[in-house]
Amino acid sequence: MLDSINRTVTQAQVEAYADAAGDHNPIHLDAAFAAKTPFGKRIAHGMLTLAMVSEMLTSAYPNNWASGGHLKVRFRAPVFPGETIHVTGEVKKVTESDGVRSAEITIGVKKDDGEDVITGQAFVQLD
Amino acid sequence: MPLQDLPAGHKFPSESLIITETESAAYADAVGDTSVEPVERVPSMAVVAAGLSRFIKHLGLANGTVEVVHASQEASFKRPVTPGEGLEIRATLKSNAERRGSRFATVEMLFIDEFGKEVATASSLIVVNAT
Repeated sequence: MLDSINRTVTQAQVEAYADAAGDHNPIHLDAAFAAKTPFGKRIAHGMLTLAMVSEMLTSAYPNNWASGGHLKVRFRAPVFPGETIHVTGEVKKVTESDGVRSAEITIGVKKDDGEDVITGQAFVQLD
Repeated sequence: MPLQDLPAGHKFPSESLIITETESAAYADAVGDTSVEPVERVPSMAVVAAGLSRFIKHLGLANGTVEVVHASQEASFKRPVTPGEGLEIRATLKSNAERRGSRFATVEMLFIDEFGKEVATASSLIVVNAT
């Protein structure tokens, strides 16, 4: 298992992320707008949550994640400000090709109640 | 041109992207990322996030007239990006279809350095619903 990240997402963080990433979609920022969507209230950016996945992988593989890392994920459920999420990674298998070892990692982001937020895989060279 | 009028295969005008030290640090601070020193190395996902934000803005999808949901994401990183480094974003609309009243669009982005080499690639599936 990779070292997990457990973090509570706040509306202030969502707003800081919107400014930093340049994504001011009102579904993240405008309570009145979000109230009219099926979610009923503001949601965090998917890329904000995914940033924590990348943080976990960078911590585990400081050089090889940024140089050769790959991921493929699905966003399963929105994260509402105030919710705590748990980011995990588990090495599913290690393969070797032409003398280079690579790890396939199962990625998971869940809420406190176990609901999936993100599922997917990441791949990173080990050598 | 509105998203619904763009055919699959449409290539967007290339755009330049520079993530400054300040922007890199602001991104790392916002997401709570302490895994890199952001004034020395841009957090990997910050590059993809910047590209996707531009695509959404370019198509006028961030103006409150539609609901945009991020459904899936792929990303590959070839090498770290340094703050202040000049990149070019080449984006292509890989798919664009309406199903059951929702529009599903996939945009592929290539991030190219000043030497013409890829530093990252990404593919984002977004779902757009009328509000």
